[in-house]
Formats: sequence, structure tokens, C-alpha cells
Amino acid sequence: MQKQNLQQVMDWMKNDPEMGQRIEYWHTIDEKPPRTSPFPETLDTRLRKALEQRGISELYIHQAEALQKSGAERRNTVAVTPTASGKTLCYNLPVLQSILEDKESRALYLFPTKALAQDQKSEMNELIEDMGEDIRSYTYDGDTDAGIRQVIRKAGHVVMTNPDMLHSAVLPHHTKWVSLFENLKYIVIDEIHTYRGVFGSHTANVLRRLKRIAEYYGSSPVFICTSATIANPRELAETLTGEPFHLIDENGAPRGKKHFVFYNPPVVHEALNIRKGAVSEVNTLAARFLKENIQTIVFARSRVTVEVILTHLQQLVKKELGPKSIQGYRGGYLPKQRREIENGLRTGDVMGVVSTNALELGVDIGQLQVCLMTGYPGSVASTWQQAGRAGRRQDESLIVMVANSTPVDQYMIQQPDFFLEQNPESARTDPDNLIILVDHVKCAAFELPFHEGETFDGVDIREVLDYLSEEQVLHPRGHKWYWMNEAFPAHGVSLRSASQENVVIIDQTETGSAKVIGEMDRFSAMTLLHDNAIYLHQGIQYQVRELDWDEKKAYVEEVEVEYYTDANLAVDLKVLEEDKRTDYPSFITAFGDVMVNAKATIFKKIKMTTFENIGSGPIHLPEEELHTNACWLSFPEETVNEFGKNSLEQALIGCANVLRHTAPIHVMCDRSDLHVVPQMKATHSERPTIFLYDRYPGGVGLSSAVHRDMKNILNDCRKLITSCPCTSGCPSCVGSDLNLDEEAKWLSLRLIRILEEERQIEAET
Amino acid sequence: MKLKHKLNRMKHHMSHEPAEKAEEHGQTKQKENPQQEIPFLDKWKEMDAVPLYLDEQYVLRREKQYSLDYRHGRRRLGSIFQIFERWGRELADHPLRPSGRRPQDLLFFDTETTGLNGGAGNMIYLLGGAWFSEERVHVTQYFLPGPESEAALYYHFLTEMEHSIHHLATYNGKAFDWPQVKTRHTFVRHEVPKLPDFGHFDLLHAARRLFKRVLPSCRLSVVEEEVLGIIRENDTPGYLAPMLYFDYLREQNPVLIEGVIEHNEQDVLSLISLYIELSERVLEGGTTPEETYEIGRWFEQVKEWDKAVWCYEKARHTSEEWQAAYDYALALVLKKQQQTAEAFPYLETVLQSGGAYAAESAVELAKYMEHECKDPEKALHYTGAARAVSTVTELRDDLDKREKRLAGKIRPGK
Repeated sequence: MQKQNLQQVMDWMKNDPEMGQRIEYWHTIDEKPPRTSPFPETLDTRLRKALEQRGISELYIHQAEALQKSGAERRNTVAVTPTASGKTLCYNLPVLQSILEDKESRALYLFPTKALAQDQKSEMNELIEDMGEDIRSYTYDGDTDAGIRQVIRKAGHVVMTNPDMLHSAVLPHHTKWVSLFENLKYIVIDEIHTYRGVFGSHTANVLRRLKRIAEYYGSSPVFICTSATIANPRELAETLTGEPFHLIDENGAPRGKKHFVFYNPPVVHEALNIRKGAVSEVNTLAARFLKENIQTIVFARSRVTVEVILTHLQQLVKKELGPKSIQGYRGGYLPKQRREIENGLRTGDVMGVVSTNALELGVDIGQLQVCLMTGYPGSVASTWQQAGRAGRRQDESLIVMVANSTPVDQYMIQQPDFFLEQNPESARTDPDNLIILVDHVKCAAFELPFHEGETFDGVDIREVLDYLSEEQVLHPRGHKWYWMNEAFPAHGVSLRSASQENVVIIDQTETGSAKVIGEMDRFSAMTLLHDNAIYLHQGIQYQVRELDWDEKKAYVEEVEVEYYTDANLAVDLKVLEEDKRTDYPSFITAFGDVMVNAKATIFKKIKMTTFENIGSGPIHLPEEELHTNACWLSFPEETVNEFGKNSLEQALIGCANVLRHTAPIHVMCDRSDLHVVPQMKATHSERPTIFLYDRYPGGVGLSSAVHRDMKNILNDCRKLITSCPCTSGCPSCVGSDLNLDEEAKWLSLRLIRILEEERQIEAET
Repeated sequence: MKLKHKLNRMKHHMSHEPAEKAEEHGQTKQKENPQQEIPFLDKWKEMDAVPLYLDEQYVLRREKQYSLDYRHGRRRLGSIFQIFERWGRELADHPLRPSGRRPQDLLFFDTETTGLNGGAGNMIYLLGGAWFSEERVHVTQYFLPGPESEAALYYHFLTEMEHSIHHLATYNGKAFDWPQVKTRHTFVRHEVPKLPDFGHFDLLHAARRLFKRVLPSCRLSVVEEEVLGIIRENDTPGYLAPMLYFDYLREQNPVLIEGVIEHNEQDVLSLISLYIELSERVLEGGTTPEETYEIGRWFEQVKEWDKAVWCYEKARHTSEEWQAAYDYALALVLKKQQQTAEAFPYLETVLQSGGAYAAESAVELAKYMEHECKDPEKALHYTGAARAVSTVTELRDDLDKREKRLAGKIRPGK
């Protein structure tokens, strides 16, 4: 049988009546020709020749701009670059130029992951080889051989590493890196949009320390950053580095024609507005493309979903294509494995890749023809990044977003204009989270004593220094604060995990050869690693035999069961301090410090195929305490009377459900980073209240961003509810909680209208 | 004071490691200008310490002297002169060999630091050294009275110890003390003399070679007690050194740190005894067959084949117990010198014994037969023998390959 090409499959999709019903919208993005400018006169001829050898005869305009601003003018730049647009040259050109001019020059590259650094090293080294110059570029990470480390410290012109390594291995040992720090001309930060939330706050502080050390050795490096498309690249770069930036957002790279299809699975239960699962639809669609030998990448949000789709597709095409033709990508892959996938894609041995969001991060495995998304990726920015995976060079490509039943998915798919016109989100981070700040002030003091009047890159930390002296971590002497403690502070601070003490997961399936398979922060462990919980790792089911809370160890064993577990978390919230408060006629908005006490109570066993509750059990774990920031909406007596107590409760639960989906989108975080809790009787005021709190001690700016952006968030909540086709509330909007009755949907809407209107009046008067 | 508030409220999210709560000392005020008046100077003088200045800074130098006849443990310190003479008569090379240096050229060196993990913030507060003049042993220690005085510390240490700092003898100094000296020196490198290139006897490595199998651990205190016959009384254990220094910084009273300074003094004296002890054992060829064997391996490592052979032969003549190990080692040294034929009988003996090293010996014999005697059939015989005595699975793959290759040589074309 003749295979169909992409064009033919697209024609079928457009014309098939059944498909027609499911395709909510077919959006076409026209191709874009390249925009280039010639090599500048000042470009070193060796560099120019090497580029020409590689078939590059001109620069894209964004590359030229970066070379001019960061190279010639030595200004900090941040370039917004979509996938595969030649962003690497934005920093490699000015850096190589500076090293060619002065062989003592050094540059430090920061990538969010080891894999990215490895990737970029090969690319850099190819360019260097073409020049035939003795320029040395190395990666420096946990895998770097001890024997070569000294060479890198002394003689590496370009050192490629990650923030974690910089934090725990480079800065605390800066005396071994004197030649790097004395000659540091450039700091390159790739993919800065990944530095948000907790990780961003930590990284911003690591950069404060880096700048401090660079200054100590007498260098003032230029920053070059790149970012995926987000709303605030410049603001983010400035927040992270504390430096002014020039923004490069005119991208000159060409683009092929793209088809963006909004696909909604058919409704299978009218009354409840339940649709067929996105996973099974994606399976069917992917199989269709793969059988026609059309290279396809499938994205799924969770590791488990990836495993499910992968297994399914591998079985489906086993006979036609062989099992190796579909590869999984779960992040943390070694460069070698990725090269194999990349090679396979090029030769046609690999037809499909199923990936978690891990691939979103600029790792280059080559471009494919079709991109399938299992559900809305959670933000406009990552949607575009994933979509960028489809479209080889300037060929035509197809992107299909298959919606889940969740409110956001349904909203996005039914309002394609909203999605297509919406600006991408802002990436937020708060470098001044007190706990993170204090951690890094400690690390900084270990690296160099603080002297009187010194700030931490502009932050007045006098009180922090005094506090640390009282705690006998620092020793004030003369006009300086010295590190006087046995500890190595960087070892106690992890940049990525939400809390410092993680629970280690130990697989003891084989007696005598127990091994650590992962770790998890304490707060999540309460609900995911309690005794008898079913824990999924790499698609394998484990049951927790014992959670040793004191030792922070969870012992698990492989099992095969038909259910998963879902735990209940009882939350108690106390307002400790109200920092901001605005009173409206029928409600109050506020922001401040809260203490959250959470306790896991029971867990349910849910059957995988039907979602039936097939049993439950108690959880015996101590209460966890969390001091953090929150913003809240609360309602005075009059509103309760006017609204009716029962009705208000319905509206509260409904609104909280919607906020749980919309707020994280606005502040660009994971749903689990921002908790939403409705309470009919808040402890501090005894009033009905909805809390939104940061799930990290001290807060990382999420709830404060929610507080600032409340107007737009409420607007989105309203749109989401009104656009949902259900009649009286469904899981896709206000939820289908047992406590909700038929009025919930319009009650929630009524409450949101009140909130919006009064804010409006307030704003006008 | 809102920030303070928050800091205290969030206290339990921030751990500063030091498990112990500091005692209630209350006042922590420092003198604004310590060099104007040195706190507890009388006490320092009682401890044989005097201040040395550099610009605004000062450091305390403590000096002690011992006669050459002083015994630290079983060893007379002055016997180092005889040991050096004996090394002079020894022809073979060895890592402990002073090659051309006099005892006066050596510095027996140890530091005390504020932490054990290394890194830029780990400060050295005591540099201690023992050295020889013609008639005495001198212990000179430089004590850092506060973190602001590092330039003075390194300036005086490097200037005054110039005569012996090029040849250090330490205990784990290669991995710990000296890299840490380099780290801290970087901070004051513009104000003090350069660090020298240096020769180094790291006695920890030496002690491990000889005592790893007979001692529960090679910590200096264990070696002192079990080997050198040194019993310390009222010693301040080394792990307390950081804590005690922090206490001293708050209180300024040298009484708090006296124990650490004495501990350091004992350490550097022990290094002298240990150097003498180790040298004598090597020069004598060991005190037990096992030790003789280890010394042989040490010589083997520096390619002193004759010495190694001598040691292994001595070991096999004095003990039946580890015969196979000695014979096997001997055979390998002979093989390394291309004296494979001489190695043959030793390998045969080990194989016949059927115990430890039998399989390895059989493999060696097979190699010998295959590559040198060009006798694949005999080689095959030995691989069979290896298989019969082998207990480890890892050897099997190797044997499989070997047998397959040999079979091919015996019946070519098949």
C-alpha cells in the first residue's frame, strides 16, 4: 500500500466528517523568510572563515545584534529565540571574538541541565576546530573526571556548567579558579526562562555571589542571556542578575508553514460533559502518522503518561516498524543516548519520540514533522516551545493539541483566539525570599567575609549578618563578618528541591541489593510516599512498605496492582501578619505571612480503569508546618447574609477550583507550587476566605504576583466558567465535588462578578 | 524590626549545622583595635608565646625546644641523624629516602582549621612545625588571634620557616593541609611571600602501606599508641579544634585553646618519631613477614625490582602462612623483568597448592606457554587447571576466550 505524506494526511483530517467534529479550530501560521545581515567588518577573520566553512555566509539579524551589543559595546543582552533559531551564535560569537583578541579572556556558561552543557560543548568545539585555534572549552559538572578538573580551572577558556555546580563546587572553592575569575569577560546564561520560582530565586542569589567573587578578583563580566518566548525576558534577566539589559527580540531565523490544530476528544457522557481521554486520542492519532512513516513527537505532562503512550505505540507499530522505532525521552538522558535518538531520526530508524516536558528545554534532538500534545502544556510559553519541535528547517509541519477534560484545556481549546492572541506568560522569581537569601548570605560569607557597609548586590543585609552572628555562624570582628563555623554551607542548600530535607526512596525489591531510586521533598512525601502508597517510577509500580519519617527514608517494593492511591491533606491556616490589605464594599483582599499546618489523614485506593474508590486506609504522619506568604480574599458578615451562607460556600469551593487552574497559569508555576484553600471560617477572622499560598517556606513571589494580578486572574476565571458548555458545573470548570450542588456554577460566577465589579468601581473612583 | 521578627519566625526552616546551642556567654564585644592591646598577653607569655606584628596585624608565635635525647614514645628524636646516615648508604630509591637532604632541611608540619571540609571559608588558625638544628629539636607554632590577621600569620610563617618549608613531612598533608594552605594563601597572596614548591613526605600514605592490615585504622592517634608507644594524657581530641577556636574568638582567653596548641605540638613530634620508625622498618626489611611483603610491594611500585625480590624471598623464608601470596608476587616481579623462566617454578608451586592465587598463577602459566613457548596445547592444559581451581566468576569469560583462541591455534582451519 502506498504511504501517505503529511499533506495527504492533513487533507484527510480536514475532510473527514468525524475529524471535523473534533477539530475545534485549524490555525495556519505562514512561513517567514530569513532576515540577515552581512558579517561585520570587525569580526575576526579566523572566526569568519570557520563560519563560512560551515556554510554560514551571513548572520541572522538577532545574531548580528548580539555581536554588536554584547561584543563591540560590551552591554548585557538577552535574546528571545524560538527553538532552532541559531541562538548559540548569539553568545558564541562575542565570546570567541573576545578570546581571539586576548587569549587570557575567560567565559563562564550556565545551562540549566548537564545535558544542555554537553550539547553546547560539542557545538562550540566544532567551531573551534574549524578555526584551528588553541581555545579550550570544557564542561564542568559532577561527571567531570577528577584528573582533568585542575586543567579546566587553570586553562579552560570557556567553562560550561550549571547553577548547582557553580553553587556547590566552583564558588566555595574560588581560590582554585583564580585565572577564571581574574579574566572573566562573559557570563552566558542560556534558557533563562527556566530560572523561575524557587529555582530562579536560588539562581539569582548564586549570581549575586558570582558577581561578588568576580569583583573581588577585579573583573566585571558582561552577561549574555537567551530565553524562550516569555512576556518579560528583560525583566527576568534583570531580576536574576541585578544588571540592566538590552533586549533582542527581532528574530531573523526563517520558519516553515505551520498548522496548529485544536483537537477536542468526543464527548462520551453528555450530562457530565465527560470527554474521551486525551491519551487514547493521542495514541490513535500518533499511530496514524507513524504508520505513514511521518516522524512524530508526542509530548505528555507526566512521566507516567509518557510510559503509557510509549508502551502503547511500541506495541502498535512493533510489526511494521520494529520496537526501536519509537523512543521515550524522560529527561536526564545522557548525551550518548540522545545522539542515538538524533541519529535514528536522521536515518529514519526512529520514527517517533514520546517525551515529557524535559525536551522542551532546548536540547536538540532534531526536528520532526508532527508534534502532538497530550493536553495543554500548562503555559503559552511552553506550548510554543513544544510546537517548535515540529518543522524541519523550512518544511511544512503540523501541531495538534489534544485537550484534556480539565478546565484550562477546555477553555484554551474552545477559545483558540484567546490562546493565539494571548501574550506568553511572565516568568516570576523572587530573589529576596528571606530563607533563600539567608542561605546564600551564609554561602557568600564562607566565600569572602562581608565588610561593613557592603550590600549583597544592592540588598541591605546588615540585619541578616547580625542575625547570623547571634546564631554564631558568623563572627563579627573589626569591620568584617567572618565565616566561623565548621559546616560547608553550600552542601546544605539545594537549588532545586522545594525543601531542604528530602525523603530518599529506596527500592528493596531484591533483598540484599537495595538501591536508591529517587528523592522527594518532605511536603509531597506526606501524600505520595506514606505507608502503602502506590508510587510510580519510570512506569513501574512500587508500593511503599515503610516510610521512616525520622530518617527520611521510604522503603518501596515493586508490585503489580490495578489501582493507584490518592491521599487527603488536612490543612490549617493561620494569618501571622497582614502586609497589605484593601477593603471593598463586599470583600477584602490581603497579602501577608501565614503559617500552614498540614497533616495527611487518609488515602483512597482508586481503580485505574474506572476511577472507582475500592478501599482506603489511615496515614499516621506528624503534622508539617510551613511559614510562607499567601494572598487571600475574604468576605464580611454582610456579604454572607446577602449571598446566603450555603450559597456562598458553594461559590467559594467553585471559585477555588477555578483559581487552582487559572492562577498558576498567570504566575507561571506548577499547580503544586501554589495551593488554593477555601475556608468558610478562617482561623484569623472567622470569615469565609479563599487562600492562595506559596508552597515553599518564606514564599517565592507566587502569591504576591497573584495579589498584584488579581484583576486578570478573575477575568480569566469568569471566561473559563462562561465558556464551559456544561449546564451546572463539571470537572472542567467549578468542579464536581460531592459538596457541590447544581447551583454551584452560576453561584461561582455571581461571586466573581461581584469581585470584578467592585474592583472596577474602586479603580474608577 | 520586622525582618528580625521574620528571621526568628522562620528559624526552623534554616539550619546552621552546629548542633550544639552556644552557651550563654552574653557579651561578644570585641576590642575595636586588638593590636593596641593584646588580650591575656601574660597568659600567652606563660604559654611561651610572643606576638609578632605586621602593619596593624599580629600573630602569636609559640616556641618550644627539646634535646636530641628526648624520647617521644620509644624513639629518641635525635636518632633521625643516624637514620639519615643509613639512608645515605642505601642504594635503592624509596619514597621515604631523604636524597641529599639533611634533617635540618625538613619541617614536620601540621595545621588546625575551623572546619574539615575544605573550601574557601575554612580557615587555618594554627600552623605548627617541628624542625632540627644541629643540637636541638624546635617546635614553632603560629597562632591566628583572629580572622583579620591572616596576612601576619602567613608572612611570619613563610619568612621564618624559609629554611625548612621546602621539605614537608605531614600526615595527610598532600590531600588536606597543603591544599588548604594554598587556598588561604590566595587571599593574602599580594601581601606575603609566595608559597614554595616543595618536596613532601606524606606519612599517612607510608603508614597505610605498612599498617593497614594490622591496625584497625591508620589515624595518627592509633599509630602512636600501637606502633610508636606514645600514650597521650589529657589530650584534646582533634575534632574539637574548630569548636574550641570559636569559643576562643568570643572569649579571647588562650586557656580555651591551650589544649589544641599542645595537641598540635604532640602531633608534629609524633611525625618525627613516625618518620624514624617507618624508615627503620623499611631499611631493616620489615619486622614481620607480612610487613616485609608490604615493603616489597612498595619497592615494586617504585620499580626497585631487586629490592622487591629480596623482600619477597625474605618473606617466604620466614613464614609458611602466606607462601602463595609471596610466591605469586615474586613470580610477577620476575615476569616484569622478563625473567619469565625463573618465575615458572614459583607459579607451578602456587598452582599445586590449589589455594589463593592458584587460578591466577595458572592463567599466567597459560600465557607463558602460549606466547613465549608457543605451545598452545600446554597452554590449554593450564586454562583447564585454572578452571578447576577458580572460584571467581569474572575469570570465566576470560578463560572462555582464551580457550577458544587456543583451540583455534591447535586445530587451524576449524
